[in-house]
Amino acid sequence: MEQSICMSGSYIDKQKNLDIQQENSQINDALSEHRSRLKKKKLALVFFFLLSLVGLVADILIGSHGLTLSQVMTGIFTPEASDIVTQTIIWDIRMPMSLMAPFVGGALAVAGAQMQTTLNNPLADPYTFGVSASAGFGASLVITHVVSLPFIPEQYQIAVMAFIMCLLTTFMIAGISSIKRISIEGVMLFGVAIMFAYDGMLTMMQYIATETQLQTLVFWQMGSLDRGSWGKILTLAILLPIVMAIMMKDAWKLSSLKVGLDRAESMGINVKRLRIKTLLLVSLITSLSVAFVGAIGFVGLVGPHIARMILGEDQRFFLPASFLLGAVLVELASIASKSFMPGIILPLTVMMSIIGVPFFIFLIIKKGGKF
Amino acid sequence: MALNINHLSVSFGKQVILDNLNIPEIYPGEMISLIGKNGAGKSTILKQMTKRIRFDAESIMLGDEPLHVNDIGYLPQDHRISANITVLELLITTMHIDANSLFTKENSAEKALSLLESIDILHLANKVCTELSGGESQMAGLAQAVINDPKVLILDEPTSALDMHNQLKLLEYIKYYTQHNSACALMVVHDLNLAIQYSDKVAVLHNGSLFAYGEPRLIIDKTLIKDVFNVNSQIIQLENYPVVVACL
Repeated sequence: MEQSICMSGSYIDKQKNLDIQQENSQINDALSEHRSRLKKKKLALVFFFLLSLVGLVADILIGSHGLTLSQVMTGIFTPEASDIVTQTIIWDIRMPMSLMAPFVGGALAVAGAQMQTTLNNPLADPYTFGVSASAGFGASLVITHVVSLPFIPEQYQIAVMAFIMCLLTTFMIAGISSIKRISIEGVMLFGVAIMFAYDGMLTMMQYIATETQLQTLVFWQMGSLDRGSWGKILTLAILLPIVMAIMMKDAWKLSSLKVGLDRAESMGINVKRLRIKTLLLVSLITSLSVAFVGAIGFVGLVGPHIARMILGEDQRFFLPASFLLGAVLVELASIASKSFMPGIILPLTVMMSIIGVPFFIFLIIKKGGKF
Repeated sequence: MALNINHLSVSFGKQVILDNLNIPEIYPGEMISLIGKNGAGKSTILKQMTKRIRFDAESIMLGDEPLHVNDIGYLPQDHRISANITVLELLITTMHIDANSLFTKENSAEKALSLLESIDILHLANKVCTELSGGESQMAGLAQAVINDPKVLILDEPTSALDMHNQLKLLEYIKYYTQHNSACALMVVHDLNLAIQYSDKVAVLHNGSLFAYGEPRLIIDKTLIKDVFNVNSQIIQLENYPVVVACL
């Protein structure tokens, strides 16, 4: 009898040990799945980075004056070994244009990603909130000579006015979103109302513009990388890393914000302050990008959505992925804009729509409109 | 440390939601259910507790200090988690909410996984939050609420999306947590029988004031149910528990 009790006791111990082992193995399985997911995310970031580099080189390579890859590489890394024409094409024409693409694309995609996060709306981006329309209106004020900014050189007047209008509009959106009784949906509707208002005013400006002014205005609105310059690239190259660093510092908080406002607040996050701070940073990078190259639609919407689909919304990965994918998208649009008709560079917005719209429709069908 | 709610008043415009509310001291290890009809101010109390800044900070005290958000774990009424991250990532994010570094603390994933294991939802660890069912996201929300070892658990209708088995599982876990962590739990519960079964005390709210407070089996009776909910009821004694059977 005693022996049988002893046996059953050891059986229970064994069973308990087996249960503990099983639990441990389940935890280990879950842990390794999590780690492999993290590894995939890191690899995806490296892949997107390499893709953006390839896109950049391809963009520099393509142009009306046929240059080979070795000519381009020599021109970039050992310019003194190239002839003066090649040097001029690469350093004065193609590089300023092509380098604008990753900076502007990245900036607009990050702006879209953060607008979507802070306003918890998958449709938010600089375009849908009327920020881009405000830039168009700002440009129209200068082009039609309604406004002339003092102390600003003639060639920068349009860009500066567009910048000011963009900044004002995003400030307005940040201000509205800080009013407590206005819901996030209300902020979104406010953005849509702003877009219509600026569109209306822009049409008015087009109506009163002379034929030459109208032509300038229409071309400005189309968005073009040929407005790129080393000064603009340097400005973005200094500013973007600073903005990204500030946003990345808030990465954990921004991830929590997307979980739910009530939960975020109960975790001690000052939701209102975080939202305004992020929107102000967004306004800065959007305004500069739009002022530098004009409005480019869809990149702020599509870039973050691809990043979200592939990497999820852990902001530590989501933010850099949005930047890199935005960069790749605008590089692709730039390559396409030079490739469709030899000798002619088509407007960037047109190319972005050709690339972006089918993809966006695919996303909607695939995800049933749920993001 | 005991939780004290004293002289708590909340009004929206001219509408008074809570009128100088006082709840007797709540001790560590206690589970308190807030009951009352819709609009009685139950969720408003919980919302006040989860506020980062309260203008009348001393109306809710934990020990000698005003209750701080770092001391609370909150499971909101809206159980959906709208972020495209996995349950494990959700917990890791919550653990690093005040962190300045992007790198995770050592063993944070292991700690989160053993918590999921103890709530019996380890199988959800690598599932994306937006793809969880209502019940699953409520259980994941519970894990998020307790991951930082809070001293006060605030649960707004924690069982609303759960089936009977998971309702008991969740409440059993809360009971276990409060007793082993010297924490107290304040929860809004609509099911009176669950409130009776799992609460140490019940706070009955009516028209923004405390109508009754005490051990559920002592204070819940036909008269109280009629006065507060305007419902007729039978109370059946089953072993030591009163069971409420209500009818209009």
